[in-house]
Amino acid sequence: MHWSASGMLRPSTVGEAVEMLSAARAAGLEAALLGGGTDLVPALRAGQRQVQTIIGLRRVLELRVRGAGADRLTIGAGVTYTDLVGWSLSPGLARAARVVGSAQIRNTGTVGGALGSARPASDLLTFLTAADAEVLTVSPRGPRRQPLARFLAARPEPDALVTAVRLARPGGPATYLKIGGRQAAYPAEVSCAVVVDRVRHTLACAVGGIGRQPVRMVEAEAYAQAAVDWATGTVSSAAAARFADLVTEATQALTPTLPVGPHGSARYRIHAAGVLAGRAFARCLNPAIARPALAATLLPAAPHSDFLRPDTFGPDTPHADPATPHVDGTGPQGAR
Amino acid sequence: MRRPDGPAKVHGRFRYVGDLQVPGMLHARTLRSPHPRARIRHLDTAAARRVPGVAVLVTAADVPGLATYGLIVADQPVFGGVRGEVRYAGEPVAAVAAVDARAARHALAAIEVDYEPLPPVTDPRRALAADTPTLHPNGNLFREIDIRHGEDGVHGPVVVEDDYAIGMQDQAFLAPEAAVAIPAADGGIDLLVATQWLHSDREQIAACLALPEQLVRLTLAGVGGAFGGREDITVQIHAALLARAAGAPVRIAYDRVESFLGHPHRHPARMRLRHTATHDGELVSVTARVLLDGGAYASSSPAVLANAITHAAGPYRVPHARLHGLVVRTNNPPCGAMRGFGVPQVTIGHEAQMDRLADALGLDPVGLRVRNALQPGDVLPTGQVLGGPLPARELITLVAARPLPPPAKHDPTGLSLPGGLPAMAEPSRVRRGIGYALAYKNLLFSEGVDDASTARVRLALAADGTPHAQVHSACAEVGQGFVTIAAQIARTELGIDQIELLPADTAVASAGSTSASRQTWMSGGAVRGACAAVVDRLLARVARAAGLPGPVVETARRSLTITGGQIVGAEVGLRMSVADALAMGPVEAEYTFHHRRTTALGAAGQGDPHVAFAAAAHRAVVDVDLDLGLVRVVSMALAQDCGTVLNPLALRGQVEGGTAQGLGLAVMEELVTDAGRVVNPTFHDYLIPTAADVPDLDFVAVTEPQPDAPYGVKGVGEAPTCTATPAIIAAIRAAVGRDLRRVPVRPHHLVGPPDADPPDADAASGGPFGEGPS
Amino acid sequence: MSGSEAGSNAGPEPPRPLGAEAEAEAEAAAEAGGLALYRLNVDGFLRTVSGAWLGDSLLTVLRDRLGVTAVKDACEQGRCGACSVLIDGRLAASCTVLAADADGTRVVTVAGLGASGLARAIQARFLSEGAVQCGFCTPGFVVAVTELLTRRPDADDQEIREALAGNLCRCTGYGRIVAAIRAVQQERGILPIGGEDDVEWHP
Repeated sequence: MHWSASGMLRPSTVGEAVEMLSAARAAGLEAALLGGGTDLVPALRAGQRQVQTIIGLRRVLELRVRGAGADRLTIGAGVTYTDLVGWSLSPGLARAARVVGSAQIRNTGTVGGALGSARPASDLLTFLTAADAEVLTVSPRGPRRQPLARFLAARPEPDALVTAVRLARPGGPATYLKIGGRQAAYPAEVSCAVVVDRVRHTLACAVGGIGRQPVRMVEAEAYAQAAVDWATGTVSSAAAARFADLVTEATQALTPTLPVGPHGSARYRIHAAGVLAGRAFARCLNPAIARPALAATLLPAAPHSDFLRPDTFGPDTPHADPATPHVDGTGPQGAR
Repeated sequence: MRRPDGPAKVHGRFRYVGDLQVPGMLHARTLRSPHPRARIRHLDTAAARRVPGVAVLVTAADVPGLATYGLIVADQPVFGGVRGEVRYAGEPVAAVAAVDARAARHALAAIEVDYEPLPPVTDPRRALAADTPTLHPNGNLFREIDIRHGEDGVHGPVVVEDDYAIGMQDQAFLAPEAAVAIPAADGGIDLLVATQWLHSDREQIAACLALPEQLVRLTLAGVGGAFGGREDITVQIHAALLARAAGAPVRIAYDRVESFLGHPHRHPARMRLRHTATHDGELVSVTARVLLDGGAYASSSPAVLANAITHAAGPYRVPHARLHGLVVRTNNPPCGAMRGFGVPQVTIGHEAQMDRLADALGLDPVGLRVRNALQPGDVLPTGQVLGGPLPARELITLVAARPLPPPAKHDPTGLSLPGGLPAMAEPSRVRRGIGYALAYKNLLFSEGVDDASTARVRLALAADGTPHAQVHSACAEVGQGFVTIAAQIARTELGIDQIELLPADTAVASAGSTSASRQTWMSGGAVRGACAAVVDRLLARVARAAGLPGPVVETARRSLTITGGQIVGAEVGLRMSVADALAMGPVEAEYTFHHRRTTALGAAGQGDPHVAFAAAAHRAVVDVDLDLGLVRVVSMALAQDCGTVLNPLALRGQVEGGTAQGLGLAVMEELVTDAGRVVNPTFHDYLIPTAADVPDLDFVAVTEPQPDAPYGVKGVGEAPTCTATPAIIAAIRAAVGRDLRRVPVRPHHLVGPPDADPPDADAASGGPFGEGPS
Repeated sequence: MSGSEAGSNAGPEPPRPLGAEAEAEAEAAAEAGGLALYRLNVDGFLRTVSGAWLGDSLLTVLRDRLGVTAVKDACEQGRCGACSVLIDGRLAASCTVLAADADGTRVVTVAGLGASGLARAIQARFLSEGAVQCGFCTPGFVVAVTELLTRRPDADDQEIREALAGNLCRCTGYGRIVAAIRAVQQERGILPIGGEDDVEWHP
């Protein structure tokens, strides 16, 4: 442990970090926990956050661990997005991490940072919400485990350190889709994660960018559970359309919603949430939709275009080549 | 020929103004009004002055000279003052210099300003209404131009009419504003600045400081991009005031948020256009009403309007036209120069009209343009006869013939499809569209302005005895590559290799602004003229020294030439090295280049306002995700009227960069205001294109020389910015079959109900998808 | 404070030449003044930072305290890449890294890239292909491209464009930057020579 009058503390264990946090609070000092710094450091510079003590977690090696148990994955709060991009044990999570910001942000930002900042449209949090993740914290009262949604909804415990998130090992395909203002390196305006568990016969769906935190699409999930042919892990394309409609309905009913950003509108975001959900659902469950006929890719310009309902997903004629479904996850047998 | 500043730039050794350190330097920050319109009741700086580390604080009360400044009209206060009004959210109210930027920031927080907020006028359509308050002693109208051409009331049988609106684009140059001001012993001030026009800055700074101009000395420090956004004063006067008050050097620097608030933007525009044509596609008349939102202060609004309205009918032969334009004052952020200077906005409008006219006529959009394209000798709506080459017809034909990109294909990464990897578009739900745009853009300053450029060249022997030339021009190198061109011209004209470009400063006469596609022509012309004068003097000296007769001395260039460092006169039997000739002493000359005179716009907007034009044609190919309304620009082809090309690499850089900025305006860039306040002044929220957004440019240069320009050059930076946006909009229109009247095009315009893009819907309200009652 | 647990999963242990005695002395001095004191390994040189504000970013300390102005400040939010550096070999936006927290890492700016030869080749191609205009983004790009081509020497066009999406350029439209990268790949035998279409001239 190292103390310095400068206000920068660099613990090397979780215990030390928690102790420092408590000590700082006891001394009446405003303290900040520093993960990668991608949110905190710009906020400090802009004067949006004022702190007297910074507890840098870079040296807490136990926070940098990614672990796999028999049926659970544990990801330390110090793990970066880049660390997750290449992680074969959770391809869905890897995909969500891959589309976070830019290479610079992915190399620096951490899981703990995402939880601490709790941005409403956070790519990682949207995925973790769908993955039923739990947040592990340690405070002077001891370790605690709570569902992510509860963690995000509650006021943060000022003396607790997020040490890890825990989620089930993938039991089926999972994907994460998002849209924003350009082709790459942008914040999500709307996003959607779908996580399928073919063992437990469940499908989870979370939408980010509409509510103040990522929201689970409970009705759509219930519908999916019934609609999926769990023997094959597939659905009809009509089911994808229905699923998308249910997500649209659920997002319409959401309160409170995020204020409108500079570019979007709430109605568009609701529309887009339905489209992304239908797409993610189909990608996980319907090989025919996931791999359309190549011949149909270049259509002549249409003189008129109808309002494009999210329930049209193009030709769902089975492809001549029963290629492997283009999904972003692997079944349990695929994970190793 | 490569950039002389290139090696320093790739190694990070090139000094931008924000990199400069001067011993004893203070750091300054600016306090800005949070209100778009307010009266300042009271301003208390006592607590701020007591903040540890604070050296000086200045407000309106500390401006010794003129209280206002401006490029054309000095209507903008240096600081909003007590009992005065602040007119936009972001208007400077005070500036502080302290030992470091943090202390200065703390001091800003300690300044107490008592504002009395007033209802802001943020809708330009209301600016001139009878019940709208007058926002400034100069009134709410910056300028009105009403061009009448041909006969009133003559129209063709085929009519296309609609409204278009374009949002506010920002220059978003990468290096935020900064300046270093150093008080001088002679009572004057030295400034190191990043600007587009040193002498205009000097004039404005001197007036506000109540100093004679010769005591205000500016030197250009490294400029990290400009695109029009550095034509206006931002940090300069504040830095000078602080440095003089402190008696110490002051560096003032903006961060990105302040940069977005601090400089004028591209004018948001609204326009109603009516095109009529014969049944076989001949344009008969164009009626345009264009309204530009100038924001709180004039900046270059009057000139931007002249550009917009004189180009409003596009590069087409139009027998009858009524082009009526207004630029008004509001409490929105001030708008001024940005690459294209009023022409990109009207090009978006007239090119949409041409496409829709082609639809109405059942003609091909390229064919309609070819048929109506201007040719030299045609009369423009101002009555100006189009001179010089303008291969508009050739350009659109050329660009239409470029090979098309391969069709969209299944891409496991999704990267090549709309929305990129994370949106994962379904190729079967992606539709391709192809669009064209043709435009012309004036070159150099217009309306009778003599924006001359002066350069000085000194040819002497270097320490090692070799000939060495120093070129001195006040032309602001902002990235465009004038330093390369100037050295290239001097090398060519002087026939020697050692060329040194002196720092651009006010020790030499004005080079005019680095804008209006003018510097290669104007300052290139000045450097060339100065070099020629140096050569004349050198040759005359050699002829004289060789005892040649008087008439030969006077016209030495006829009998003597410089090649390979040798002065040769075959007929007069003379041969002397340049080095030997210079051993007699250095040769120096100054030359001022003027372009041909133009005239102001007179009655009915008639005159000969523009020096010359350059044209460009873009073809855009886009893919649209039909379900999400996401657009990916697949390919861009450009054919451009470039005049003589002096440096192919610099040309390519200009047209690719101009295309990228036009792409940004088409699909992503807009500074959004809500009740006058900018809501997205960061690179997190104001997105500009990345490498993943801009496709490779297929570029065809048409190189017909401009007769009255040095070497036959034309300016090249602006025309492609004008055409890139409407070509992309046209391609999206073709893909989705919607009118698309609001730019930038947003996804919700493409997937909402068919009328999802009313041009009058403010972006903040999201159009019909908006938050209002629906 | 020992450096042995310096946290990173990439790169070897940075050198810590300051002796424990000197370290303690300097710390005592700094603490007496209530100022931050730490060391940064910048381009292979150990630099001592004292008196910096606790919340200063690595970018601020590099530029304002250490005079390393090759690292550019353009957005302060990690959105533009102008301040790109390598931290223990990983590309990072130095404006999002707390300077005091970079103690114990190896920070490499454009000036420290030289040794491999790859950076030199990239810089040469940036010049020859016209990838430099105002140049403000260039040092950050050189760092990012060096990191990319080190990791993925044969990156294809899409991969290049995606990898560089965190580096904004407002002047070039990226065409010449991508061309420069392709030229480096060609020169290194990764891409076949030729095939780059050039400008067509219509005199």
